[in-house]
Amino acid sequence: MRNDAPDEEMAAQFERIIRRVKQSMNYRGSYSTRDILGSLVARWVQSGEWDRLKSLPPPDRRIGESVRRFILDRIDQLRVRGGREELTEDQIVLPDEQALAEMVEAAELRGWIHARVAELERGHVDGRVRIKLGQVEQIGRALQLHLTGHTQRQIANALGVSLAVANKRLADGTNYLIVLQGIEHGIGASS
Amino acid sequence: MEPRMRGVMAEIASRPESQWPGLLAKKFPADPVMVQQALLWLHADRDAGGVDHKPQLGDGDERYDLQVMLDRGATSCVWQAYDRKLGRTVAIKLLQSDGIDQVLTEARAACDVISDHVVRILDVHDGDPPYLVMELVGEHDPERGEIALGTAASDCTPRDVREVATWLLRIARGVHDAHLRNVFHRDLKPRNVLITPISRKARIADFGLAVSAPSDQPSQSATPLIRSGPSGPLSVQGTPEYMAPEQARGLPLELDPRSMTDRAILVALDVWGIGALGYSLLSGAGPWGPRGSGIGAWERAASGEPPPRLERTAWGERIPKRLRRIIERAMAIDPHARYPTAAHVANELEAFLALRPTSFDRTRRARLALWARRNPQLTLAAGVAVVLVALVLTTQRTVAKLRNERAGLRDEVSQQQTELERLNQKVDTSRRELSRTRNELHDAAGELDNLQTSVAEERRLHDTVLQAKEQDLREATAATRQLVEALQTAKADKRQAESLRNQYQSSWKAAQREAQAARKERDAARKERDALREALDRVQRELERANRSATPPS
Repeated sequence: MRNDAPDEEMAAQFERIIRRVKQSMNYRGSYSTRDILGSLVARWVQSGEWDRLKSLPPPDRRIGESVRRFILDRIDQLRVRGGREELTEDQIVLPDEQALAEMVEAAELRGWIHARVAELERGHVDGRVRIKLGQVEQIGRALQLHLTGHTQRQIANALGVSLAVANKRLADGTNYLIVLQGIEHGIGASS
Repeated sequence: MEPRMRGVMAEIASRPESQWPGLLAKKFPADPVMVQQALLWLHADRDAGGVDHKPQLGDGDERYDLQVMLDRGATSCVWQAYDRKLGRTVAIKLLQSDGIDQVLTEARAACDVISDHVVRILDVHDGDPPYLVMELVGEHDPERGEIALGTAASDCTPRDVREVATWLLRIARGVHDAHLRNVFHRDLKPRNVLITPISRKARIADFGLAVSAPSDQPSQSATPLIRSGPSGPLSVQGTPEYMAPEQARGLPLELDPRSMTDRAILVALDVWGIGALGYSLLSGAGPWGPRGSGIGAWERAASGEPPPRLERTAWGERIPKRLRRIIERAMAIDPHARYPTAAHVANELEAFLALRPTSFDRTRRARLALWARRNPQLTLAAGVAVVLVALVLTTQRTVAKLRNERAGLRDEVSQQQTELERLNQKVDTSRRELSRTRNELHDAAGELDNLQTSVAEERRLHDTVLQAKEQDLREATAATRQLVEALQTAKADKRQAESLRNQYQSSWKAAQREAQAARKERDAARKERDALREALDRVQRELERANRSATPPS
């Protein structure tokens, strides 16, 4: 963290990190069109295309074009399987470049969260986080169940703990990820 | 977090937020990194949705006291709260700051519905944060003396197939009640159905994606996916694992329940939802995949292929064919092939539960089987009566048959007695004949003994002759063998003699040839001798002549 940063700016940065991590951790039961597109963008990121584009200079990346091609391809496949009426490319509504960039960022963050949760499940804690966690594996398991849409009651049952303890594990795990994400952004990182 | 650290954090969190940096700096004077991390942790904890901190329900609003968080979703969390004004316990659904539209949509939709099967909306607050006050689904537990809370159907294992059908029946009635008020849920799934803890009744909750009339504004998340389908822009909304195929492919952005066409689309969606709910409660997973399948489930839903067939429940019970067919019809891929209304689904489920014929039980046999299951006592009485009548008829028939058989047997016995007498006479005759035959046999045996004696004598003689002949034969055989050997020797001698003869013949021929040559030589010598004699004679004559010529004449 920049020590000279004004409190308001710091608070805003905190809020941004907290909101992004929590939004990415929320299990989406009901999907909207935007969620569907967000999931397709996540698949695009997983396909390795984003890693390829990242190696290019920013002006040459043209994320929108690549994502658009990928999404159209997926929808086209559904059209072939389902015999849906013909659609032309301009009928498919895709987000603008900025929204796409946000979706890509969200997909990357979600991938990062899944990787960290898997580490917690294996009992691995990032050494940069000074606040010590207890019951690391249980926290990892609780987060994993949460990410796959289990309710707190189901998580408590699966862990064999009370609802309050399950909530505590989820909160500790979420806060740990937020602190770690803050460290990635230079907040609370050792110099 | 470690207990000591948790205590420190809880202590600081209880102070005003502006004091947190100073307090942390005092607590960890030599560790600025720790201060920053702890500060971020505290901020995160404050927004955690009530794990350690309860959210504020707006400025000065102290009517509701949040007590326990019941559930947390992507955009909302549900709290148990105490209504200080009316002295009752309620549920409060708290949304994110940008969820005002959703709160209003849900509140408008749900408060219109008057049904025992739908969770009632009591109040709505469109401030920051927006929230809904709902009836708390719970029942007084006499054993514990407190209110036991209802659970989402997704967290509740049904006791058996009939309980699932009962839940579905109530849901279908609730959905139909909502449809009568022009409210369409569009997101039916186990998580949106609450089960009361003691009476185990199902109630519909969460009208977050509902469409209701009059609808002046599109839903907050209704972004179009397809700019212009056949009926205008299309958007996708719903839970992928439970979406109807047409929902996954996109529905018109603006659906007006007052329009007959749109109403039919919306009814078909909820009818699918009831089927999908039944499918999930029975199989333990949504028709398009287990919870968390996300985009993969959406793709399967949009593909137009039917979901996997229901066979057994998640707890291993066989799913009755009648219930399966009701669910399958509710989940027909073609919306027109589904039940026309949720009430039809409810009636079918009611018929299933009451063992009355559904629309699939058309044959007389099926209806009779159902009647029998429905009226077991009558069926039993009728069965007993039928068995008794059958017994009487069978007995009568058997007695008559036995009488006939007895008369037949009597005739047969008298016939057999006559036959027996005849046979007795025959036996006497046979006995006499047998005695005579025995005597004859006795005589024949004596003759046979004699014959045997003479045969034995003959045999001995024959044996003696035979032995002599055998001896002769052996001798003859030996002589023959000697003769054969002699013959072989003679043959060998003959072959030798022939060989010698051949040699002699060859020698003879050679000698003849030599003799002939000698004769030729002899003849030549004789000729030569004769020539010499002639020459000698000539010489002698010459000599004599010479002599004569040389002697003077006297």
